[in-house]
Amino acid sequence: MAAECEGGPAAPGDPEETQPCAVEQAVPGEGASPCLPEHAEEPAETQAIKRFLKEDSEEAELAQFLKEFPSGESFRKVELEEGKRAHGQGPVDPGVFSSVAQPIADELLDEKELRPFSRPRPLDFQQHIAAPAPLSPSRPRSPWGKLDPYDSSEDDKEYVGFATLPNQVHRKSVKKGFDFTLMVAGESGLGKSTLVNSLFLTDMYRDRKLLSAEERITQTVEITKHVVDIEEKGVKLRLTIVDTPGFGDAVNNTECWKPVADYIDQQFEQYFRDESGLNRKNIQDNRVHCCLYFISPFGHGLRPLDVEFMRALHQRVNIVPILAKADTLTPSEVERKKSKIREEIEHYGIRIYQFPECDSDEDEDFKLQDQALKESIPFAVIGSNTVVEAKGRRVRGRLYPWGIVEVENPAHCDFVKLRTMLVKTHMQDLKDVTRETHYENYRAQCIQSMTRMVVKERNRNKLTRESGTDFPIPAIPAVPDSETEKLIREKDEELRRMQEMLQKIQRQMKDSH
Amino acid sequence: MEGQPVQPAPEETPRNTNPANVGLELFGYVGIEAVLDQMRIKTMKTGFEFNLMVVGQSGLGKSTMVNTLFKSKVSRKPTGPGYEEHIPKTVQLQSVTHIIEEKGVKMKLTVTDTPGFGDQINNENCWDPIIKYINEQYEKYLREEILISRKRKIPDTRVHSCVYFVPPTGHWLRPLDLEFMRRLSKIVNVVPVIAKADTLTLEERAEFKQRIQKDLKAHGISVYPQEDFDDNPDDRILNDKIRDKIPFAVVGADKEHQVNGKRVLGRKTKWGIIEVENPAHCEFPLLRDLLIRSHLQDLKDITHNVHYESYRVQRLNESNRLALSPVNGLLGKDEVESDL
Repeated sequence: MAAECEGGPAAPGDPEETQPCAVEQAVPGEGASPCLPEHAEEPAETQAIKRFLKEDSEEAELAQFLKEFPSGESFRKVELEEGKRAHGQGPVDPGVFSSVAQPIADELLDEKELRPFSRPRPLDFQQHIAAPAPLSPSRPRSPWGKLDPYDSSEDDKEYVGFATLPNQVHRKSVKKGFDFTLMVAGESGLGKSTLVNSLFLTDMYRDRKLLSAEERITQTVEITKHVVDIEEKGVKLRLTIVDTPGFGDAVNNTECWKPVADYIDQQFEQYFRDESGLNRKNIQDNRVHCCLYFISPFGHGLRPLDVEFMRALHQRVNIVPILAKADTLTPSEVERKKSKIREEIEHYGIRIYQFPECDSDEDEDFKLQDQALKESIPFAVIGSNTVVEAKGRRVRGRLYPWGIVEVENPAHCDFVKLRTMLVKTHMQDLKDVTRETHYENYRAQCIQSMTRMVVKERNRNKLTRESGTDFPIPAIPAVPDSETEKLIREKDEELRRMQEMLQKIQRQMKDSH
Repeated sequence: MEGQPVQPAPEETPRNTNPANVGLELFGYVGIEAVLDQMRIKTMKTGFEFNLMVVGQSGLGKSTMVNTLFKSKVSRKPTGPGYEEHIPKTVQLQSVTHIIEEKGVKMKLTVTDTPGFGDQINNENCWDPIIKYINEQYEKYLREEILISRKRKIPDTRVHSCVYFVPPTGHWLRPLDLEFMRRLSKIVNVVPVIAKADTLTLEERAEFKQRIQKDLKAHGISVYPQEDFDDNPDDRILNDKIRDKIPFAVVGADKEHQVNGKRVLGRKTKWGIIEVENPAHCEFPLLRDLLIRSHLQDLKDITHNVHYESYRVQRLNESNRLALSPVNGLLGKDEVESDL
């Protein structure tokens, strides 16, 4: 037993091996990625586990329950069978569990639904079966119940006990709920609202009023926000959709992306302030995690406006290009346009959101899917607010005199791929990239410009270097640049608190120069 | 009418003043109707001229539509597979002329395309090159007309019809569309069409058309067929029917597919074949009938009688004012008024 589970808690002598795994799980809100080193061991042990599990139906029931609840954001599924299918596409593909979960009846599922859990290591099954003794009286009743990885008196003595960390993290994040901010941009009439409604199966734009002719002539770009709370299988998601009506509609569209860029920067600034502030308990994260940019299918590839918009925003937000209203194109036209757009994106040096590379130990299926996903950029989508009858089934689609277009048919459009990517597989990654890359870039720039101003002020005032605590009081009238003065004034509170950090950065900057 | 061999009897002169009296008998076969034959033979020999301009953003299917209309590759778009479209920085006008023949009737067709229209970020005044071009053609004709020794048949390069392609957003007309149509409906016959209409379902199409018609009315834009130029009640009824359907929702295609054993022009998608010439699918047959089969001569007439005349009046007024203003300012104004 011990020999088969290298790296697991079975080897008490080397706790370091388990360390990286636990640390990875300890970061809150990152419940989506399970312990990767674990995964490596699983396939090797499949055979052993299968043997055990087939005999014990209780274990198999557990496995089924685990399959339905991947650790991380699960989402409301359109059809149940799709959910089961889609689950297999996730990066956390539990090849182990799905293979043994087949013979389970559905009614066993319900009683398990309320309990949070994590995916215990395969080792745990073996241990559970090997030592089915009841809990030792010396041990308090574990909050994890059946899912507790340690469930025997032997474990108590030998193990430290932090293999429950995944459970803890997951429960916390499920209680807290997730949030996601999605921005949709593009000319009007490309089906943005319809697509948002189709993606999240809600009707966000019910009360939308279309403007009259006179109002439209003087319309400028606005930014509107709709917030929707969705709950599915106990997991709460707060979804914010940022819309940009008026983009690209005027005769003169110069700089019409400026309001959009300003909005994104504002959200970053807000978060920066909150993060550097004193009370950090309830920070609202309104940063835009993903921007769906709609490209018109009527042109020949990207228009000048598309290029300018994407270039202005690719450093600030994850851009996912979308080929809108794809039911106007034949399959060969779709292919041609996609490759043209991909070429142009590369030609203009636009950095759209890149899917993370899959690990070399993922199975072939997943790798193929990932490859297919990468090659479908930009996604050719069709949205629909109506349900029509097609071949006896009721589907979301559009009814034409010459046929019915089904939104969720992968042969008709890439809607399913987009939804899978956005919601089921890459939502966490989008948030991570926003947090780690875009926000950090913004923050570094902000701090650099602030320190430059501070240094300038200092030099101007000829203060001594040791008095780092003395920040330039903005009452000095000699400052020619009113903008920097205002900024300094605003940041005064935070700067006082952050002075050590700033000094460190300054020193680093000086070293690197 | 020199061919009348019989002198009308004195009691029959009222015929000339009473057009309702058609049924008065002639004593024999006069041969009046032969005029039609003479005209026909003459026009077949000289042929027709028709100048069409297509305007719209790139990628809306203008060239394909023209090819479909005339069932031949008349547009500027070459048909090679590796053809790359690039968007020019300013609006350029390119004219292609072809002579096509059908059943002995020759037609000299000129198609003027406007690549680069509406494609830039700042599209202000992108209609200026187009207006300039149209006025230049009028100017050319005018110059020929006021020569002392005129040609027998003045070459007619004036634009008879401008087909404007509206993108099928399904919502409303964009400010660019409104500005363009407002300016151009004053100098040329504008026929708006909804391009790539296979992206709209039938309900969406109807709604979109309603909104467009409302918009056009709200801005005072009169597109072809204009209401002011209906000559008689029959025309009015016919044109009203057409006006209900403006703008036509069209789909263009230059490939043929098999449907029910017949070869039809259409677009083949995974969910069906869109037949271009099927009135249940799109309104391309209506557009074709309007432009070619029924109203082609009307388009030319209105261009000649209305748009060209107003240009001419304007030009003559200008030159009058220039000629007379330094000396007889008042006199110039009187002459201007009498001209009008």
